Amino acid sequence: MHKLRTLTLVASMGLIAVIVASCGGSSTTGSTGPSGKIGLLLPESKTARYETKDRPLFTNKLKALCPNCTLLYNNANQDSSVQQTQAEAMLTNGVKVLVLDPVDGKSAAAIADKAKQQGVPVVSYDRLILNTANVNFYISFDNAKVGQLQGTSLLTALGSKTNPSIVMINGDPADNNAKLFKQGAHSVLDGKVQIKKEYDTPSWSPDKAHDEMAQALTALGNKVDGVYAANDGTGGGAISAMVSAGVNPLPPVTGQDAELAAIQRILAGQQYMTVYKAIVPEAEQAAQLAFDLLTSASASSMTNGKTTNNGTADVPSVLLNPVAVTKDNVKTTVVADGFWTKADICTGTYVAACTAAGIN
Amino acid sequence: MSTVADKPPALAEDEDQPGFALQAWRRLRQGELGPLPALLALALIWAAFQIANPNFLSPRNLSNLVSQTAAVGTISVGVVLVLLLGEIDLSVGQVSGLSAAVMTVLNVQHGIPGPVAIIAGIMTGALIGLLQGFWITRFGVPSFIVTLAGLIGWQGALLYVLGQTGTININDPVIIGLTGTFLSPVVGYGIGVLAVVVYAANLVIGQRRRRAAGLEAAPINRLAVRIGIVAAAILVAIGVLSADRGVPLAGLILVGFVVLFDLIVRRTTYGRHLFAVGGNAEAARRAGISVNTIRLSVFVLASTLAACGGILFASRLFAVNYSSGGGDVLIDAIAAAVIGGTSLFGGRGTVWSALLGAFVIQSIENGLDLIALPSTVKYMVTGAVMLFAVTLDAIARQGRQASGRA
Amino acid sequence: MAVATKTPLLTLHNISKRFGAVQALSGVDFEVYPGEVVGLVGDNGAGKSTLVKTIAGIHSPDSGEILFEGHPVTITGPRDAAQLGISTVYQDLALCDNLDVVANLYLGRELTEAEVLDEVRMERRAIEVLKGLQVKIRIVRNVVASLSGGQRQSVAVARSVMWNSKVVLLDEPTAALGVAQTKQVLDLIRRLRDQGLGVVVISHNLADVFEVCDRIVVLWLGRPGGSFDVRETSREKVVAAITGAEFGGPADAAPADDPTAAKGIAP
Repeated sequence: MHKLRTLTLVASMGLIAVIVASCGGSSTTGSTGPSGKIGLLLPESKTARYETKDRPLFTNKLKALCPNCTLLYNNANQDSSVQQTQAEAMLTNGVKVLVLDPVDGKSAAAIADKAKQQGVPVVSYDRLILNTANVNFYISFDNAKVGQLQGTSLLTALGSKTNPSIVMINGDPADNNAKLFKQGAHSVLDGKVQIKKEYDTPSWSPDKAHDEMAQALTALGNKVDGVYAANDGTGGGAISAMVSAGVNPLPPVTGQDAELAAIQRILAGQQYMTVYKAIVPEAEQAAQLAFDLLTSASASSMTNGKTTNNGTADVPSVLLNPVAVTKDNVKTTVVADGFWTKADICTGTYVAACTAAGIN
Repeated sequence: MSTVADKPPALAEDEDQPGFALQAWRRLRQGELGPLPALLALALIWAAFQIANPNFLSPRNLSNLVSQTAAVGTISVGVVLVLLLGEIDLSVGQVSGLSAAVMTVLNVQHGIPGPVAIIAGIMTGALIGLLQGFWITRFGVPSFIVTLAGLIGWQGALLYVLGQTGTININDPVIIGLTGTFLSPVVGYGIGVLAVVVYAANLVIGQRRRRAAGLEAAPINRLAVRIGIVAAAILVAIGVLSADRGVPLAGLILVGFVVLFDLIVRRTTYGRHLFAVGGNAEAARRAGISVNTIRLSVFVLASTLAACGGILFASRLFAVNYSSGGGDVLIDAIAAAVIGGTSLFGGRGTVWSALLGAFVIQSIENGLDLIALPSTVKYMVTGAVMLFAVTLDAIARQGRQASGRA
Repeated sequence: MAVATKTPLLTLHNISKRFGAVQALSGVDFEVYPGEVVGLVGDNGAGKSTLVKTIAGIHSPDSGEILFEGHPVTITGPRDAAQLGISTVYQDLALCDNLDVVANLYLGRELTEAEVLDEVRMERRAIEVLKGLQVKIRIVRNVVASLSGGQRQSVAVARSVMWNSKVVLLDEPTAALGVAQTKQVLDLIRRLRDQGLGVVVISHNLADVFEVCDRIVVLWLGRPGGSFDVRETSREKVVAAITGAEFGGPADAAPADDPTAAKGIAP
């Protein structure tokens, strides 16, 4: 009993130390300039980008723009009610601007409405907050364009093949963006190829994608000319299934996100393309938007008059263009941007492929 | 039972010497269903999918099915051990992902050779099991809570181990070979024949020993039938798989684990004590069994097997990523054990139920993917089958209670 | 029965045990001879359970001495008791319902050959032991859950005596049994006696005690309440001793010690 109490005490003291240390980092300095709290809410931590790209990029840009600002950050781990709680906590803490990447676009409308009541402007980050007039800005990539880009690339890769057979492995049926990717791809592919099998992949699970592809190959007797995979994870699953089934040579496979693993597969010739959504401009411009709202609360010039309809209102939007990355332009896109460095990509078995692609 | 047949005045509760068929029927009526519901479900599922898509029972697809079953089945073997103990391990999914991540990071980013990295991954699982088992036995925290904490905590560790890159590709031939290797027909049949011979010899020698000791022993023709059925099942399976790419190594690994742990559980003192703790921990303690040692070791085994399953998953996908070991892995592993006939209440079940249940679950997913039904239907069908199997188990339990057996 | 000429298997002399403010046992003497069945009786809270637990090594006495086969011994744990050859069958029997009869008989002492359970040898010996005690269980491979109450009691007793026990303590062995099954267990107790064991039976059921015991020891509020030879006493005398009437106490004296003890399980 006594030991247990000591243990609890030590554990609590450790916890307090961690909390104090993490608070210490965000204390403001005495210099002049605009100041205030800005809240950043990201939806999940299972996809690499949010914790490793969006958050640090946003933080650094904001620090550069506004050294006296304080950033409050939270991650909802794919739970929309958790996100709501986090948002309420931030509003209570007195944030001046809320940058929200919603877990669920529809239920996030409640957050936006609550923020409006307290006079806090909202930036809808990467995913659109739906069915509310209380969103000040939307910044993202043109997601329908992503699907079109994937479809067009696949058609290019299929070249002159007559009436090719393809398998479509779409994303999570519960994800609104996945729906947009799917629509975009269909708008390009329908009529030009035979879609022999089509799957929705719950949670974007690569393991599930592997199983789906394995079954499609069984049903089709390994005869597949191309694979539409909605992102790099599902693409990786499809590729491993084809290798296991002895499909040789591998048909073109699409992807999205420019994951390191996908870039490596592209260089090694296993995956045809991925869609690179430059997170650097997205995060940095989101920080700029937040800063503008903090300082002037007026419309930013960045939107160029573009808007996106969210079901209730036309939201002023910054829409960035996604880029298709194949073996030919890895060097000029992700490497040139520093999204992945040579040291990241060219490890072990990929050194030779790197050299062949001129990355050195 | 001629040995106790000095014909005492029969007491009311004494059963008459039952014939084999009668014994089987009585067991059924009293709710000792064993693997029957799962076999029945499997037969129904296979028949339905074969009608829906004639490719279902093709060698290629059955070979896929075996490869797909290997990882979940391996994890489920560990779950069965924990369930036999009357405990639960909710962390097996995340432990499988984390162990595979450790293996992959060591192999890909630190250049550790594949076999060494595999062992390191398995050791990661063992260490986690040791930690969780220690926590459960030393502080008396329920396993449900400790492994629930593990479920959350090891997810964090997985994210940490994978670092910034997210997905890591695996190119090591040894690791990929775990699931990418198919045995040539000669090797496949060799192993099959060896297995049949060992099984037959074991049965016959056992029967001889019982007979020599004056104990009731099965008649030789019944042994012959059993050996015949097992031999036919093994050789047909190998024949079908050899008609495709050969027996998948992953399938052999799974069967190897199942046979190994089945023998440990049924034939060793350790296994006997495991059942005893699961049946009545206080009785086991009074019989001088170190209950905590058994508990601790079972959690180590469960996590170690989870690690092995995670490595098979990674080998099949050529990659690990943030979602490794997440999603349905845990639910599938537990459902497999329960569908196979292992009780959630401890002390009843067999290791084979992991294999059988994993086949049932994987058959559903396999078949639904083959006819490319939307995931809405997939989830509902999987749920319904699980409910069906567990309901049979519950009805069986009522049967046991009605006949005073539980 | 010529017990007087033998050395007692187990002798307790002037045993006292106090739990906080409660004097559970004070100055109790107790002995068991080989081939003797002793009934230990008393009202709830009389100290029966404390006495049994003292013998079984679960409690150690505050004062007094214990002799085993005439030699002074200290029993500091259940292991010591087991090593001397004292075994206890508690009311809950401590059987594993999910294991078969053989497995239960050998639980914790399995016979192995090259690390593998030697089922043949265990089953054979199990059948011999059960046969020797004339316990009627036709299929020793049935799980214990499928046995009747009497059979379960028999299995529990068989398990406790099959490892060279000299003294066996039975806690309420007939408590939850029907008539036929009670007879079965009482027969078993007689056979243990015939095999030269010392048997201590704790029971509330005086009919059973009179039927099977050679001698009856009464405890009253933790104190010795007398020892009666069954052939020379009557049920009335024993009842009087149990209720304390013999000592001039009120017949319905509330048990002073161990007031929290549950009825039926408590001494």
